[in-house]
Amino acid sequence: MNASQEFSQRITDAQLATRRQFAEFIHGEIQGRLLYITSLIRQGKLQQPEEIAQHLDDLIEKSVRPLAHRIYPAEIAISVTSALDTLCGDAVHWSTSDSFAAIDIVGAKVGLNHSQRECIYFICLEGVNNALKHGEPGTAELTLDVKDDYVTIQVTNKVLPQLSAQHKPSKSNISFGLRTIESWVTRCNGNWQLTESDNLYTLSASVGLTHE
Amino acid sequence: MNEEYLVAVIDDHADFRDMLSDFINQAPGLTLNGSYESLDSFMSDHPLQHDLILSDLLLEPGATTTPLPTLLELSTAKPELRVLIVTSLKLDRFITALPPELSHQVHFLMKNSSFSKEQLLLEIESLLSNVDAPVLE
Repeated sequence: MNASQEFSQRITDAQLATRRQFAEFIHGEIQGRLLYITSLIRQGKLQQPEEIAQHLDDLIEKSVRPLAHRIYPAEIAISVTSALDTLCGDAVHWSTSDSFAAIDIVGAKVGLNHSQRECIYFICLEGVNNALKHGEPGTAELTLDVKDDYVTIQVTNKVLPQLSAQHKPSKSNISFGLRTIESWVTRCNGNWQLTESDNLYTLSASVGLTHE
Repeated sequence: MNEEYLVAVIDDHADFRDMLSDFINQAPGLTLNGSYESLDSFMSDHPLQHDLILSDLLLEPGATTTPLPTLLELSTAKPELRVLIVTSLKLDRFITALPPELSHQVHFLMKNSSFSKEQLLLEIESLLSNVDAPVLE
């Protein structure tokens, strides 16, 4: 199997795993909780409209909203910043510069089109996933800035000590996650690099801005 | 709210649009002036005739654009216009980055667990209470 076939195989495997996870979540989590609420209503244990609404609200906030966001964060159409707020949560320290906030506002004269928003989001997603998977817990940082008509994305993390040198990620020893980042960067005619200094890994990617 | 305000509702989901319309029809001082499923249908029907616009942020499944820029432009063109964006998206940091001169004209309301008719009307009252407020420079 050549590199291209191997990458295609890994994409198919990843898609299949994702389908399994979503099906399991819908059946196990959402359907299960709906059946539980139905059962409480049938038994007369839930009678007051406010009580029923509370259970349904809980289902929406804890199950439906996170699932929808995992499938595709609709906020991307409005704001990458907001989509990344949800992605990073408390797990990653992340920040944006004022210049990025300015172009992230819908209607800005110099701004991001939808395709660029998607690229930026999914580069960050893969970078953050990579950092959380391979990095020392609590060390992942994500920053977005604008420099010279480019949005620059930077994800840093300390590498786990047990990660031996030959398994450390690099452009020559490219993992599935990095290959996906490369694909997104190529899609928006950007560039990326991975550097290491003092056991600190830095993934940098740049996406060009569109002027109206 | 002493005057009768003309309200437009824009949402691609018929059930939610009808619910908002019912809330408006039941509220004293508010008159439902138009109900639209898309930005196009809204814009083709004299958009500046309304005093208050209630709108979703994404008006079609898989939307890649939002009516927000258009609604911001309308707000600039008609300073007494008020816009309430009713959305299920969490946009806290984005909202704080919006132009401050429009902050008294454009408010956001989350469709979350605390969304109710009472909350909607409170937000509308808050928006309309500053109709005569000067534009912040």
